[in-house]
Order: sequence, then C-alpha cells, then structure tokens
Amino acid sequence: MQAFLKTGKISATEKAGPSGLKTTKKKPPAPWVEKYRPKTINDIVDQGEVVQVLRECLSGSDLPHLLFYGPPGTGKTSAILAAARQLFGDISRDRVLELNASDERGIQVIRDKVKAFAQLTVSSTKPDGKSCPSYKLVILDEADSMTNAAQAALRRTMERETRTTRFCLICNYVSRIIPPITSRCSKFRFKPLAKENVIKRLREVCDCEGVDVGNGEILHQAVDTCDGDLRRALTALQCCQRLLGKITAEGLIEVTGIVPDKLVNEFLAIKNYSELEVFVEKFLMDAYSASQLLEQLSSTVVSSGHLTNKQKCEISEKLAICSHRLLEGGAEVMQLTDLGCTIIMANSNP
Amino acid sequence: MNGTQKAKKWFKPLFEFDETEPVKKIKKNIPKANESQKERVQVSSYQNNNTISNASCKSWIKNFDPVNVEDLAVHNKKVQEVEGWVKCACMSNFSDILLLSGPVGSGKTATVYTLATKHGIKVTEWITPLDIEMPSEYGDYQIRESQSKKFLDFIINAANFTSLLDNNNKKLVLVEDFPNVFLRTPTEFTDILLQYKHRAKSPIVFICSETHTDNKNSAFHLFTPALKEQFNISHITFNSISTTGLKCALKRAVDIISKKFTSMYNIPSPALVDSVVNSSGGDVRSAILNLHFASLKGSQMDMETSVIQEKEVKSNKSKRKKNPSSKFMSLGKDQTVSILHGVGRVLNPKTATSEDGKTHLTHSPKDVIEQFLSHPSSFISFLEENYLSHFSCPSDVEMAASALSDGDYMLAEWREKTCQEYGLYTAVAGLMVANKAPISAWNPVRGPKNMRIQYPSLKEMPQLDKDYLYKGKVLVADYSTYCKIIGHKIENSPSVLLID
Amino acid sequence: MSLWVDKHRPKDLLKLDYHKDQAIRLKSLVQQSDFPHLLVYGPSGAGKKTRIMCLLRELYGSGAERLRQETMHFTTPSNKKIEIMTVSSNYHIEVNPTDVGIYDRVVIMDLVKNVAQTHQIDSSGQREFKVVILNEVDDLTKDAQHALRRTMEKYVATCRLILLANSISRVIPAIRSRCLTIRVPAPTEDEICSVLHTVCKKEGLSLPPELATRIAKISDRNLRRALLMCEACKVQQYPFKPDQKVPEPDWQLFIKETASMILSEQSPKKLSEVRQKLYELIIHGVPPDMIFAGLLKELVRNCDMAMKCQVASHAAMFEHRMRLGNKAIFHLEAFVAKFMAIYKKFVEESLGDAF
Repeated sequence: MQAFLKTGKISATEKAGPSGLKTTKKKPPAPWVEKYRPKTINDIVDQGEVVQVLRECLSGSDLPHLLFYGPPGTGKTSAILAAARQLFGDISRDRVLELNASDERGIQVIRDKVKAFAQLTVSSTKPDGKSCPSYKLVILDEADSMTNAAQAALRRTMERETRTTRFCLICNYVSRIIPPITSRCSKFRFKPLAKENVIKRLREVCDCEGVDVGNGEILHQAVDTCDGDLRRALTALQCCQRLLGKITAEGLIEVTGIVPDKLVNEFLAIKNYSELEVFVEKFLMDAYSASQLLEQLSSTVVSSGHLTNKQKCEISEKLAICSHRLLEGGAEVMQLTDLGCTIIMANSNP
Repeated sequence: MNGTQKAKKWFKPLFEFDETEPVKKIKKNIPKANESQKERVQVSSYQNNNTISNASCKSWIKNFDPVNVEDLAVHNKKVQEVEGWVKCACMSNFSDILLLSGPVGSGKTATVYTLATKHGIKVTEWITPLDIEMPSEYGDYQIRESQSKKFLDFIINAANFTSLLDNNNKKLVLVEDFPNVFLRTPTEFTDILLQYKHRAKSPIVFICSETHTDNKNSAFHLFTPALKEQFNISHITFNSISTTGLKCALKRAVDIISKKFTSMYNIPSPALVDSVVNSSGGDVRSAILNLHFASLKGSQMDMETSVIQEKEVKSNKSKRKKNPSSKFMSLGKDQTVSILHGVGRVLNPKTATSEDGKTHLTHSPKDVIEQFLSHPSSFISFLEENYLSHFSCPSDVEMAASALSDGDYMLAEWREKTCQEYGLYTAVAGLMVANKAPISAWNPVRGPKNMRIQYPSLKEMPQLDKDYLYKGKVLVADYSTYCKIIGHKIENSPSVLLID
Repeated sequence: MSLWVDKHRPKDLLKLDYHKDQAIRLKSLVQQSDFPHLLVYGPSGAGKKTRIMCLLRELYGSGAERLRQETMHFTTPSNKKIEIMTVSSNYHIEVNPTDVGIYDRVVIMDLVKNVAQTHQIDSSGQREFKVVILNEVDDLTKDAQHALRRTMEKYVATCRLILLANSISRVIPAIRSRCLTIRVPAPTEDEICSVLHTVCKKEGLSLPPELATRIAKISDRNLRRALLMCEACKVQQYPFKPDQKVPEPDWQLFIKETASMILSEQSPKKLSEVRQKLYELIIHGVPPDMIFAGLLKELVRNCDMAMKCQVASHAAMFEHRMRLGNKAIFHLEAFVAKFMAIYKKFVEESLGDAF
C-alpha cells in the first residue's frame, strides 16, 4: 500500500524541473501531468468545498492555514498551486516557498529556511501597483513524511508568523500529522475523483495531444488500473504513447507494471507447495513485481466473495508483514513463498 | 563483628590525622617545594615519623617520576626511537613534528621529559587556559577564535624565543592538552600546523592518548593520514607497558619508598606489588597510584592496619585464587576485561544460587556488555565464531542463533545509539540464557573470520570478453563454473585450440 | 577465442531472438525526438544488457561499440579513496555502483555530474546527451536511490540514465515514476531451445533436441547460463549425446550438499560444519539471498505441508533481517539452526508415531 501511495509523486519532478532546466537551451517536452495542470481553481474538478474557500480568499478575504489530505492524484497540489498563481500572479516566486519530500526537510531546514522566509515582511501591493494579499505562502507537500521533530518545530513558527505567512500542508494521511498542527489548520479532505470526471479530463488531454484513444474503453481501463489517481493515469498514458506510439490496453498494462488479474487469482487459488514453487518461479521469471502483486492481492482479498472472514484476516495479516519486508529489501522469492504458504493453509481450513 | 570494628579502627585514624596535624608543618614545607626534586625528596624524608605534609602529598606521585632514561618502564627500543628523533630534530633547527600515541599511562610524556632532561632541552608545554570571562550571548564564537589564536601564538613564541633566564637554545614544544576548538573544527588545526611549519624553528611534539571508549572526541583523530603526509609528521606508537616493565618500575618505586619514605609508607610486600601489576592493565600511572594507596601508612596505628590489610588480602586470596586483581577492584583502574575474557564469561555462563533459592548469573550480562559498548559488533562476531562448541542441544542452539541474529539486526541501526546497546545486550543475554546444558570443555577462542567477498578475478577466466563489464554476482553464478570447464579442456588439449 | 555467449550476442535490435515486439518498440523510441530515462528490469540472463547495447548502437551508431575499460577514482566526504571499474565508449559509460558498497551514492552523484558536464565533443553525433548505465539498481542503498532521483532531474539535459535491475520491487517509486520502465521477461524454455539450436548451427555443430530441452530446463530460464552449459557440454563431449550429463553450476551443487548435511544430522557440531560451508559460499561471492533460496528449496523437499509453511515463514523472516543486518552469516546460521530444531522435533515425533 505504501509503495502504491508513493507512486507517481511526480510533483517532485515538476518542482525541481524548471529550476534545473533553466540554464539549458532546449527543454525536453514537459510531462503531460505538468502541461495540463489546472491553471485556475475553477478547473479543479470535484472538490467543491475547497474550491469555495479558495475562491473567497481570491476575492479578498483572509486565508487560514490549510491542511489538505486525501488519496494521491486528487488535485491537492494542483489546487494550492493554482490558487497561489491567482493570488500572487507573477510575483509568486517571491511569495511562495514550496518544499516537498525530495528536498532536505529536517528540523534544521524548518528552523532556518522556513523561519527566515516567514520572517520577511511583504507589502500589500505588487510592484506594478496592483493590490495583492499581504502575506506569503509556504507549501509543504508530502507533509506526512516529515519527522515529528520537524513538525513540532513548525508549530511554533506557524503561530508566531501568522501575521505575514500562511502555511499549506499537503498529505495523504492526516493521522501522521501531529495534533497541534492539525488544530491550527482548516482541514480539507479531498475526495477520490468520480470516474466520469477523470475520464473526461483524460479525454481532453488526449484530444489536445492529438492522440487517438478510441471509444473510451481504454480510458476506462486506464482509470481502473490506476485506482482513480489522475496523475498516475496521465503518466501511464504518456509512457504508453511514447513507447508504442499509440495507446492500447496491453500497452497500458505493460507501462504501469500491473500484474494481470489472472495471475493474482491463480496465486490465491494455489493448493499445494509444489504448485506454489512453480508459480513463484514463473512469476519472477516473467519479471513481474512482487510488491505490485501484493498490492493487487490486498484489494482482491478484501473484496473477495468466496473467502471467509477468518481466511481474509489470516491472509491480510501475512500480506502486511510480507509487504513490509519487501519494502525493506527482502528477497521477492522468499516473501512470496511465505505468503503463498499462508494462503495454502488458509485455503485448506476455511 | 570483629571485622567491622577493626575496619573502623583502620579507617578512623586517617581522619584524625587529617585534622590533628596542624598547619604549621605545611608552612615549613612550602618554600622548599619549589626547589629541585631531589631536595624536596630529602626534605620530606626528614619529616618526623608520623606526619606527612600536605604539600608533598600533592606532588607525591612526582616522588616516583623517572629521573634517568634507564628508569623508564617503556621498552628500550621505543625510548631509543624517540631519542633518535629528538636528537635529530633538535640539531637541525627545523620545525619537525612528532606525534606520540599510545594507551593511557604508557609513559609517553615521561619519556619526552626524561629525554629532554638528558639532552638539556628546554620543554615548553601548552596548557589550555580556562576562559574566565562568562561567555556572552554572542561571544561564544569569539572566545573560540581567540583560543586557537592563543594556541598559535604560544607555540610559535615558545619555539622561537628563548627565555632570558636560561641561555639554552635547544627547545621543544609539547602539546598534550588540545584546545577543544580543534576537535570541533579540524581544519583550523591544519592551518595552525601550516603556520607553525612556516614560522617556527623548533620541533614540536604532540601527545595523544588512545582510549577505546571515546573514539569521536579524541585528538588522535586530528591526525589523519593525509595530514601526516602533508606535514611529514613522524609517528611513534607506544604500547601498554609490559608486565616486566611494570614490575621494574614498581620495584624502583619500592626502592625509593624503602630508602626515603619509610615514614609515609609501609614497605609493600611482593605479593602486593604483583597484584598491583595485575590490576593496572599496563598503565604505569595507575600502578603507581595504586601502590601509593595500598601502602600508605595511616597513622600511629599503622602496624595494626597493615596486619589487617594483610589478613584481608589473605582471605581474599584463598577465596579467589584465580583472580589476584580482584582485591583492587575498588582501588584500581576500571577493571578491563579482555575480549577473550568476555567471550569466556558469556559462553560459559556460571550461575549462583542466592539465599532465597533463586538462581542468577554470576556475571550479569549488563556488566559484561559495559566493557564492549564501544565496539559491539566486533564482540558479537567473536561470540558468533565461538559459541557453537559450547552448546550441546539443537534447540538451545536455535535460541542462541536467533539471539545473535536479533543482535545483528539491531546493531545495523547505527543511527540510534541505544540500538547498539540493546543489540549487544540481546545477543549477550540471549546466549547466556539459552545455554542450558553447556559443554565445559576447553576451547581456544578463535577470532572472527574475515568475510570479505572475493570475486573470481577476470584473469582466471581468459575467455571472457575484455570490454564487457561483468557483475560480480553474475561471474560467480554463471560464468565461473563453465569457464573452468571450458578453459580446462582447452589447456589440456592445445590441438583443439589450433584447429579453432 | 571468446565464449559463445559473447560471440553470438546479437548486435542489432531487429536481430534479437525473442521479445521481438519490444525490440520494434525500442527502435521506434530511438527515432522519437526525446529519449527518456529507462529502467530495464528482468531476471538474470534474460538479455537486458544485450538489449541496451543494441539500443546504444541504434542511438549512436557503431561508435558505441568501441569500448575501453578504465578505473575511476572517487573521494568520499570522509576522505576515503575508492575506485571502481568502468566500461565506456565515447557516448556512454557503464558502472556497477554496488561494487563500492555503502559509498554507491558518492559514485553515482560524481559520475553523473562528470558525464553531464563534459559535453559531447563529437559534433557528428546527432544526440546531445550521453548515456550512463547503472547496473543492479535494486541493490543500491536507499540513500543512493534518493540521490539518484534528484540527479536524474538535474542533469536531464545532457545525460540520460539507463538503469538495470533484477526486480522492480526494490526500486523506490520515485525513480520508477521518472523512468520509462521496460520489462524483460526471461525467455521461455522453447525460446532458449531455439537460441541454442541457432548458435550450434552457427558453430557448425548438431545439437540433439532432447539435450537442448534438458539444458533449457536445467538453466532456470537463464539464457546466459544455458549457452555456457551448452558450450561446456561441447567441451566435455562431442558429438553430443541426448543423455549426456549437463554440468550444473558448482555453487548450486555446493548448496545441495550443504542441505543434505543439514538433513543428515541435527546437532551443534553439524551446524559448525555447515557454517564452514556457508562461509565458503559467501566468501566466493555467492549472494546470500541466493543461498537462502537454494537452501529453502532443498530443505523443504521431505517435509509435510505444515512444516513447509513454518520453514518458509522463518526463511522469509531471517532473509529480511539479513538484508537489514550487517553480517549475512548470522542470519543464515540462525535459519539453519531453526530448521534443525524444527526438523529434529518432526523426526522424533514421526518416530514416536511409528512405534
């Protein structure tokens, strides 16, 4: 699950990209995700409440500290970036500090960089005389990966610099943010996007790129394989387009590294050890990713109709353990065998 | 009951003497304390029987300082080595640098001073001054700055300018007490050395003690190999003093006592000397200290105390014949258990039954691990290498092996300091508890294996394509076997090669 | 005289023996204006490197085949000097960063920086970027992988990375999402057979189909191994016989031997003998995870299902710890000890049942 959530954090690319590339003459084509990021908050789909609040801020009222949480690819970063762009216009470079997990973000950075930035005072007019809000914005993306110590250091800064600085924290799990911080922010949950909206958006992008996607069957599949994560779906489509020159169902499976459902079900139905050995070997020889299998397995097991609750418990527990070990570098063959054994045992006594 | 009374008696007079002895005597002695050593020695020996002056007490360890080169407990070869350098450096008038390192109390400083006296060289030693001013809120940095500057000024002045009072132009600068600045910012030290090398005209000697407990803050780490090369620093390493060396030194001390200080000390018995030697672990300074305390005369009652002490010694001896050092547990240095000892204690756990019927380990795991906290992984490696021969039952082994695995797992988390301790504790305690039926046969302790992976070299497989980058793993897993087979045949039948 | 494996390595994308669709796709990728970072993954001996070399040739022409070996030197922040072997052409450079253990991060960052800063001198080359090939990316430390992700972005203008990995599971998602991932499954046994036949034909030898099938089976779908086996067979006995002995890799035999030792007796004494064997294996560079897998496979042969599960779960646990710990031998030994204890109990119980 964790591996999944980390996938497609492309925001890091987007952020570091422009600064790193500025010196070079020729820019490589931008990722679609970046190219088609919403320009204004009105483009944000499905997140009514947040958009409402942001819209009011744009029209002049004060912005509270914000905490956005929700599954990946639901537009959290896009929302705040679009709002920042609209708020500050071309001076957003001076007024916005964005930090994400790929930046150094230990306690020292919070203390020095964020504090130094927060202490600057700003005027309420733009250089060209137009008015703009008299505060700065600090965006902390992937805030749930900050250490607790760093979060605690942030708490004090947040309080002291309220007059000149607003913070926006973005995370997947609100439970990983320490309570003193959540209590200082207005929390907004980003709902998973409705499937139709995702498909609509994908279609728009494909049309702009001049890519033929047929009658939407493929787009449906793209959304399904990516669990409604718009960013992942877009990245997958682009990779597929790059590799194949067209977008097909098989191509999508190939670039997303998805394990075919057939294999997942086969793994769940294994009866004895020798079968398991054969399966594991074949699975790895075909270079599928074990962690991907575990992810898919997890959702299959939970929603599976023919397993009893006890079986589900047993399998899921082992699944969690194995997936943890896998993440820390355990050998795939071992973890799959271990999990397979548990499945066999669970299957034999329901 | 008797014992405690006697102990009190032995103890009490010491206090009495402290209080009853008036200040008079001290006054008498102070002016003379500044005079040369020999004189002072005589003065104190002239003191009447049961009084010891505070002043001479302060410098009592000086009484035993080596006077001649022959008196040094350090190995002859080392002394010669240092002497060679000192002679050579003082002749040449260049700013040569020497680094002396070695364990605590191995006679580094003593050697330098003794040699200097012998050759008539004036030694100037840097002592880091205490900063008396309270550091202001922002002043912290400035004080640091001045400390290193002071240091530089001092050593250069000491090296270049002769004191007006003596006309000796041979000089030596000695640094043993490193200013803390350098430990924090080693680059500053490099600058200082650079300046010194340029401007100074006398040799300088740095003395670093090596301790195995506190690696990070040791001055020894200032001298990186690169630095040594850059400044052409000679490095002489001292070893701990050998037992014979120690014995000689103590013998000399005993001689001094018996000649001049019968008033102050009981003449130590050879047994006492032996146990002092054993407990000191190659540290001359602590040996002398121990000797001092062990044979110090209390007061008028000294006859009795010594007898009691003797008795105690005896009873101790009969109890623990094997461990002569144990009697100085309270006096001596921290008892250093060698790694072999430690391994023995863990692998042959001895249990004792206390009065309430509970069994417990004689050496608690906690005590054992304290000795090895500085290098947990090497100790665990030792344990791992040796534990199997002490076990008799597979299920015990299984527990022990799991404990070791746990230990290694925890030790890998090097960022948490506590993990190191817990890892070591898990492994040690696990091993001690797991072994329910130990085999007590004698087994030599083996050192851990060197586990460096040796991939087959490309030369062994001449058939391989030269311009291809091989991964070690693949070489082992795929190529090595078959290259051997294929290569072998070709060697044996050159005709095949020709045909090809 | 070079080995068959090297001699008959295909040089052109279109001449690859299997995964032809993929080859065509790769070819079309080269013709596009932008070339992304690649992450190529698949089991050992599936032909990842061969594909990359073909790809480079496609990118730069035959100049990419003029290789030279050199040793590069790096200095770590702690002033330790490390050196690493590289193979490079004018257009690319290849390293195994894992060779330097925990210093892999330094190597990657310095190397990519160096490459990215030296511009392509040869103006005739139509590409304005160089390629850095990193092997065994999945075995890199987490630190190095994170460093890689920033490095990838920073020098994207002058330098492309091609990462090779055995499995994608251990590559952090951040890297995965920045690369075009290309999966190279191991060839099937049939495909291996056909490659063996082609190679033998080129060598002017006749290969009995039975032998080819047996080699393919025994080679674990590892084409490199299969070709080496075939050549070794030829050296041992030619003309081929359908039932001739196919030599197995010696480390596999060694592991089998060790496993049978464990099964023969369960005592501390035996364990210390087993340990010597394990030492041998590790010192000769057999990766500990392969030892684990091999032992598990051999040991569970004659256990009942419940015990198999038990053993497998312990193996998985100790293997994971080994990955995090410092000393592989500790964990291997703990596993063997565990197995001995379980097996002894099992044998005793079944004996008890028998009487």
